[in-house]
Amino acid sequence: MTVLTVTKQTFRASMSPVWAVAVLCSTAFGAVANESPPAGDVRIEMPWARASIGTGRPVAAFVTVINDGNRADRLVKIDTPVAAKAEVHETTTEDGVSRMNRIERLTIDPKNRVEFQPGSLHIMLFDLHMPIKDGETFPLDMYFERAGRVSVTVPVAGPGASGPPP
Amino acid sequence: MDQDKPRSKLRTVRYALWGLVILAAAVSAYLAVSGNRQSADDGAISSKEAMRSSIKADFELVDHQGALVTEESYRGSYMLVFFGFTNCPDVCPTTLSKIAQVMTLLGTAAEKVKPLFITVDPERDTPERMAEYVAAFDERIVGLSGTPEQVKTAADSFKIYFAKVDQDGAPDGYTMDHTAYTYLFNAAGEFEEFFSDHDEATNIAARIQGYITP
Repeated sequence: MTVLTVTKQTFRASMSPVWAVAVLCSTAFGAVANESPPAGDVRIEMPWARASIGTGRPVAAFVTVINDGNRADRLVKIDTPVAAKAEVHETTTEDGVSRMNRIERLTIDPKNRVEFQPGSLHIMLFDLHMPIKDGETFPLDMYFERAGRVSVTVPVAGPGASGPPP
Repeated sequence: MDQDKPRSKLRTVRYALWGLVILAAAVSAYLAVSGNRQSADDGAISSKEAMRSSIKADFELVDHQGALVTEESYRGSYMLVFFGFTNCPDVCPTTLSKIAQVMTLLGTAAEKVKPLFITVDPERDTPERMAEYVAAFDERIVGLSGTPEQVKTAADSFKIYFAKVDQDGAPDGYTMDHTAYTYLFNAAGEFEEFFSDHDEATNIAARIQGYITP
């Protein structure tokens, strides 16, 4: 188990320049990068979004935020060129009644992860500038208090998908 | 991955507990009303009877093609009914996508099932917007809208809770809270059971199939 972890860490460290190149390539050729390059201690895995139905409705996007550091970090802002606004919301269902609340302050504890998924935490993209289509990708920047900007390319699945596109 | 397991187990336990609470409430309500002392064996049946006497499909709404419809319009079909709104990006797409999967899983039996998606947000959800929304999931799903009064009357008969909630920054400044159960009514228009967000499509399809061909 320990050996596996060390190997994985070493692999990841050696991969950093590769990621930089991969991201450059994804910008240049529109390839998909499903994992963010490490920015400080925070990284983002498994980004995906649901396709929009028209442009007049909000769309949900999902990510897993991982804090490898020894100190807690806080999400301060989300930006994407496809929408005027991006906010963290949480669906709660109690006694059969679903509610959606805005999460103003999302903290990622040290050595911990926060998983966004349908039925709980999601990024709400409001006031879309363009339709978000199944099979396409779009860029998303998440800004953290300590780690700064972490950029990901978000692949788009169907409008009611329960996970990332295959 | 390992961290998720306790959390999802806890969630399952929580749902199970809520289920028990609802069942217990329904049974005790029935007992209180009827004044009967039922044996424990009759618990499930009496709670269904209690729910049947309280949950009714009684509505007059406009479908996504602009036609005026009532529950009578669907007599002879099983009605699979979900209330939501089209500006809902999480629970509603998840449920409608699941209903689309259920229809596919039912195969030819799906001809006997009418999935109805009723908006709790008639101010924004015109029949045209409902048409655009349901078509994204399955063309067999019927989107129903109406005046705010018609929607309120329908929701009351189904015992659906909904409320407009002001939210800064949300589209038009508000979002909707709503009951997210999916109700099944038989071909005679009587309530059979409801499904919640933790029921998988395969399970729902099997249960509906059980009513259609017992």
